[in-house]
Amino acid sequence: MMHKLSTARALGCLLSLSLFSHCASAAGLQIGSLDLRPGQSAELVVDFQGDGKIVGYSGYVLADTARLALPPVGTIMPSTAGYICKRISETRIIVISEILGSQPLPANIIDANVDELEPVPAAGTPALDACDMLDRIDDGFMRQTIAGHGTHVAGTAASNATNADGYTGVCRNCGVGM
Amino acid sequence: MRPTLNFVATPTAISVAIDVGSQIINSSFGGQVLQNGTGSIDIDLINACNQTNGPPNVLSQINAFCLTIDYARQNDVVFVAAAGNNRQSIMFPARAMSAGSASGVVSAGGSGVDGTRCDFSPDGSVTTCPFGANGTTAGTSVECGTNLTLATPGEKRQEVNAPAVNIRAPFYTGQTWDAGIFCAVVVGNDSAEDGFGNCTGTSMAAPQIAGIFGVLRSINPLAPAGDPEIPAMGLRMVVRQTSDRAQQNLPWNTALGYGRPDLAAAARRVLGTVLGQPVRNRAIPLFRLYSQAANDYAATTSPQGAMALIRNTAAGWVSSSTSVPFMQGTLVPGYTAFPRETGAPIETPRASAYVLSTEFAPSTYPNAELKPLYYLDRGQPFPVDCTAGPNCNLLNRDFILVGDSSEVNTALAFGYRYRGLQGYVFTQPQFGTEALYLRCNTLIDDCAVFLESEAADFANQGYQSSLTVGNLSGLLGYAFGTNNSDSDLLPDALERVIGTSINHADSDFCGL
Repeated sequence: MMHKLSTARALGCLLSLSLFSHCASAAGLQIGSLDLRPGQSAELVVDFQGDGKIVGYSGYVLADTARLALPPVGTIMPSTAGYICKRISETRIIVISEILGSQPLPANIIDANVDELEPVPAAGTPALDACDMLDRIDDGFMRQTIAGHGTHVAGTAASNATNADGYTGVCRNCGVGM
Repeated sequence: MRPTLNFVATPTAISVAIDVGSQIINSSFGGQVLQNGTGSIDIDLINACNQTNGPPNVLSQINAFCLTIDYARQNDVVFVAAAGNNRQSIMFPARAMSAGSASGVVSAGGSGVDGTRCDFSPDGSVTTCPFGANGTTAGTSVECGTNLTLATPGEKRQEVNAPAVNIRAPFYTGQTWDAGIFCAVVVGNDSAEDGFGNCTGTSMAAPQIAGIFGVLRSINPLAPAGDPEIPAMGLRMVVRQTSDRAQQNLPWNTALGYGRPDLAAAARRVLGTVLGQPVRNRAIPLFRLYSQAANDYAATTSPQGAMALIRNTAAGWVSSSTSVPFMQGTLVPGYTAFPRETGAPIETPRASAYVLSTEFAPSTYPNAELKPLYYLDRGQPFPVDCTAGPNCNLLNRDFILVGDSSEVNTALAFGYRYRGLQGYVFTQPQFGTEALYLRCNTLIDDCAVFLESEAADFANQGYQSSLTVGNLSGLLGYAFGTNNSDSDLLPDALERVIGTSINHADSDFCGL
């Protein structure tokens, strides 16, 4: 299980760089600096109030056509040809292919990770994890081992805190398109 | 064999992402040798966007990518790219230098555990240095550090760095280190089944940088990306001036660039100070846009999101009009144009209200509770289920804001799509605020966002139904009007939030 970093632990590591103290004095406005140690995440990098509480949430990025309601945590989202997604193993961010029409997608971070676009060369299986923006072209056949890279990247950038773990990326209120 | 960077699909995808309103692009990829048929160019050793020698078909692909990078710059989209892991020079597209700009891309290098350059060949002499699964022992990967700026004048400069060793983030259950992507390293006792993985590389540094720009853009969506080499204020300059190296008065470095961003300091700089006290929140304009073809009033705080609607060739939203009701909004002081590509429609930014940009009570409203504004949209023919004919509008769209997560789920059940967070409003009435509503005209399948002061007029136009039975008044919360009593550069809303006078032009504000 992912262990949520306690506030104290996070503060400790931030203080070790002597940077956090620089910003902790301002009336509850506390934002950590980037000081990720091996095995640590971007969680609590942004913690305005210093209590580890994530106020509000950024919600979820949804597929354009799938009309997805917010599923229970841990749900593997159904996949259809070309519009495939997976709620990442009980984590907080739903990474889904987004139809790219003339539609606004504010506060977007996009990871056009072409590594994930490689078709499975042989004996391919439909990849539940093929949540890539070009996947709609490739019809969702991908090497599963390749597909984790963009997920990791998206999670680091913009995981939000709706999940039980409370894991957040650097910008928890940012939407993500992949 | 590592997949080759797709120089056809990728720039296309990025340009579309810009078209639909992305504010930040993160590129955790890069290419070294660009091949097209039998022709190839080693773009790792050249300033690719200035390249003129080589197979024409390869040059054309490079050109497409470079045009896309410049397209991002024109639209004020922050383009972050991983510097690459091959140690000897910055990889494309991080190395791209946009036409007309010193550096169109934020090159994100990686730093190691001790904050120095992420490099597992300490003397730098080995190009294919050993790198094992735990980042320190022998292995076969050539990906063993962060790239650095070559000494060649005119070369792309490393801009910033972020930790890049064994970064923990969501990962597919059951996945472990895969040499094919040089990325994930499940180390030590980490479980392959917990949905998290530790990855190493500048791919992991770039999204941290992108996230930082996401936070800063959330605080002030109007702040330009700027350029760290050009002394005009912009977010990239803020990040440079507040980095760890800047705080230690250390100069730019070939591998670490201007240093590791200090998000706290950068956010404080963007929020600004008033009389020495840091500002905790910011009032930002809520742009109203209207499309006759889509039969829609939309509301967004994102300039790029507004431009996505404005440049929509099918339905073409406008930001102001004298012939459309409610489209004579207030000019935004000091913000006269949306960032846009050459040839895009010109629409003047006008505010219909001001909302808050962070979730934290302003110092001037210390006990106020805030709630988010969620942005959703639905596209469906009108009348519903019609398929053709002169009375069937296939372009019908409805962009809405809702202020409660249960309403998000209700809207999702109605077929709306979640798009993101637009800002915050007060939960209760506060001094200087008025109610902000989402009310619908069910006869034409459109909902609009407006202040109490416009409610009667909107009701006369048929906008008087609530979207959900759980919120019959359609109340989103409490927001600010668009007055600017002292006609300075700060509208009353912002002055109330930061604590300056609405009646005296104030020159001591030092935020962006």
